[in-house]
Amino acid sequence: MSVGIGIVILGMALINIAVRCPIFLMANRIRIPPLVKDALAHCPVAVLTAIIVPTALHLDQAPDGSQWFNPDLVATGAAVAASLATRNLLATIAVGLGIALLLRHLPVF
Amino acid sequence: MPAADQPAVAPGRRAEILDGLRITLPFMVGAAPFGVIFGALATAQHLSVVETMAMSLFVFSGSAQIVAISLLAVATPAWVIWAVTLILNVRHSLYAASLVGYVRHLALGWRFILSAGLTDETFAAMEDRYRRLGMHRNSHWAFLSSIVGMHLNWNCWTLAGIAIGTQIKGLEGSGLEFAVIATFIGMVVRRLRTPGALTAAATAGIMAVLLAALPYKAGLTIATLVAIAAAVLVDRRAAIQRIRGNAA
Repeated sequence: MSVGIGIVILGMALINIAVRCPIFLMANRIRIPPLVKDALAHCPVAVLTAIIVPTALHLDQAPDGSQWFNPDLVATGAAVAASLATRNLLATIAVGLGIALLLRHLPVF
Repeated sequence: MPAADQPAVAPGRRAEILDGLRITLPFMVGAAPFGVIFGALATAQHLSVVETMAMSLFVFSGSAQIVAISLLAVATPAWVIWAVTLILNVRHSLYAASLVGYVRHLALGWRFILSAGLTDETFAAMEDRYRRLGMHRNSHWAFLSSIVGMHLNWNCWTLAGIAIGTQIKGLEGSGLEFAVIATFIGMVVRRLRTPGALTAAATAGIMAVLLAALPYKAGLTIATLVAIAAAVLVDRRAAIQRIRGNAA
């Protein structure tokens, strides 16, 4: 195992323990304020959207935005539509991945 | 634990262990494709078998693991991966907060294991079970078997994914990486049911694009924090208006 990746994994494992365990371990001494609860509840949507949008616009490959119209953007649109229509995670993946693979191997772009 | 919560005869350990597995089984089936996706993608991104399995064994968090390998592929610094892991998994503290009443009486070692192994799936299964059946002196054996079942399941399917990723060469750049983004899209869209969640998504998307040029993926962390703040403000405003509406 490379040292770099080992450290990344160790850190992730410690963070996961740090978010899960303290409340059970200090069972009688912890109260979470409603404001903090609300902020915690919004975390997944915020971080995942912040990953999805720049990736769909290929900003990681072309920060100037020159590749914004690309197969992954179309696949992202299709996955959002599939998700709204079915509310099903596996159906969303199937449609998104299907379109992404199809466009990658068709000479459309 | 109040005596009134205890049925006349508490089910035995064995019955509790089996029932914990039974209520977790649908989630184990549901997690299987993601274990395979993770194992195959990690292999395609050139993580070794040991590195990939170490993640599934010790990190035990599908979304964080899949994000981590996609960030590792673009040479992201460790602190950004840790920040993202924290932001993605901090919801588990909410799960712990809502289950803590059922484990208060247990020994410290039990409370450590039950919290360290907590996932979305075990939370959903056990929260529902405690609500339906209440608790008794063997309930925590069902909690434990749910965790062990999820953990074994996740690691077996990761291994299957590694096998698939090793067999099929050239997965990298084939378009298969889009499975990750599609997974995230599904996770986000089904949560977009409140003005707060919509605000979080819109703000995060716009900010992430505006800040995309910042080094070390700092834009990702900043966009996330601004989006959470915006969503909390929208929720507070809605709550205040509700209170005013009720008063009028």
